[in-house]
Amino acid sequence: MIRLLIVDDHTVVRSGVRVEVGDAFDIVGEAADVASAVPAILALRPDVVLLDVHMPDGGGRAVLDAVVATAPAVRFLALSVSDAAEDVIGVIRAGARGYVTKAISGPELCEAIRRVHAGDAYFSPSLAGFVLDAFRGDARGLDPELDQLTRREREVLRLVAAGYTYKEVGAKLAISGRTVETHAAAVLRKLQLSNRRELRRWAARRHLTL
Amino acid sequence: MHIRTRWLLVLFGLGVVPVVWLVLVWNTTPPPWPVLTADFIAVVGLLVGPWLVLVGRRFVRELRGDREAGRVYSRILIVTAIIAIGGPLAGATVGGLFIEDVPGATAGVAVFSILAATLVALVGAVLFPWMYLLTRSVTRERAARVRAEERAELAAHLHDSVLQALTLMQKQADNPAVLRLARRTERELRAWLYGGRSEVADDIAGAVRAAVEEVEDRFAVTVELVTVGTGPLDARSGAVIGAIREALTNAAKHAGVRRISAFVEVTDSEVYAVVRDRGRGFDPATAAGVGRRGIADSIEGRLRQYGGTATIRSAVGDGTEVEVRLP
Repeated sequence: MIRLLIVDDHTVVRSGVRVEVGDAFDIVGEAADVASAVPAILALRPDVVLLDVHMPDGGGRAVLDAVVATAPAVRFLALSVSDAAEDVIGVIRAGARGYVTKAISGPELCEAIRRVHAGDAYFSPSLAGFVLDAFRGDARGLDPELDQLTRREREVLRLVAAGYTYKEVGAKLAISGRTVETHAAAVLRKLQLSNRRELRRWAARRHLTL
Repeated sequence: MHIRTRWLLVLFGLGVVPVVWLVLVWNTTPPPWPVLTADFIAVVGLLVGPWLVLVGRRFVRELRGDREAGRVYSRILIVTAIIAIGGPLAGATVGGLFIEDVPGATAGVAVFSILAATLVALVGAVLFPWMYLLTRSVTRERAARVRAEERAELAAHLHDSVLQALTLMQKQADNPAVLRLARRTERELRAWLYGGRSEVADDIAGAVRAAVEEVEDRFAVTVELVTVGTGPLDARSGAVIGAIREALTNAAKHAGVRRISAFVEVTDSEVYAVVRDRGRGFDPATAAGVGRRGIADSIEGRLRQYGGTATIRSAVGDGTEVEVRLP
């Protein structure tokens, strides 16, 4: 059973998540702030951490910065109510493998946790939209390996943004589910490593360092 | 600003000329006092005058409405003028009437009073106002920063408490009125928190958002809208937006689910949109399907005249998907 740790400063959200995914996963702990989340992750070594983006003292970003290097086996799924591009891209660049909004349904959240645990990338529709937005237009002079999306990746993202599951995306594009996952992973890698101007601009606006 | 700075430099250079002339002629033939006075007035006028004009203009512009400061400033200017004009005149009068035997006394008084006037003008009308404006702008910046910080703190609080509560309400409420209210409040709060969204929808993304809000309010559904890029509103994009609105309305009315997904991407080459629900769907072949087919036709009809296409896929129990493309 996948071992899950919930990090969120809202009790209501933590208990809500417990109700929704508690049967499917082994919830090994909860943390309500950055200061308690870091030692909890290092001590419990959960498989997946469900990480709130917005918390006092640096939010999910601070937790990621503190543990990603020391606990490389732990996967992170960012959870946020904000849906603002800057916040979301920030945590993904810091090492989260997926992002979902708090409006997500229980079964979808379970699916997202499983995907992230398997080492895949999980995009919410809004995150897929941000990525399409950030990789729009001309990328001349930039690294084509990292700063451009392929046509296929674009098609996958469009369908994810339109609310399709990976399985449905595969069926629509007549490719296997595994291929969809490969595309998603490639997009995640580009998002984390790309140096595109749009990404840097987002970062600058939020005073983040990417 | 560049031109003004250049003129200041030119005037400054011109002001140096009388000084040089005075130094050159002083040892051979000291000029008579009226010439000396005129020379000093020229020097001072050219060197100080431009600064007076510059600072004065800014002072007047920034303190429009502040009568007290304006009165003080004009008083300083009057005092300067009295000293500058009155000094030489008094010197001339005194020199001419009584102390004709003391050479240079008149010139001394004149020069001294002009220098005094210069000092008053520099300190009173240039230096002080300038420092005043500087402190004022620093204070203002600080106040603006404090306001921005307060706003950010408030936004963070609203974000953490109210937005969370509204999201949870929508997940758990069954009453359509509650749902509608929570959704609308969430939208308004988001618009305030993240700002930048104009009230009037003057582009494609804005118009789609407005259509989504209208459908959400009318049918108590939640539309998950993702837009990428945007473009100007015209008859062509109007047709796409009309088609999207119709597809959304259709889904809200017939699908029997509360969540609808919508995706709109505007690129240089086309507008692409998908409206999708996971509702009950319909069978295009059956009688009930024929009625729904009519709506499908009207969506397609809107686009055909602009060279666009609409593809509608549906199966009973498998939801409905409307895909729209307009090159």
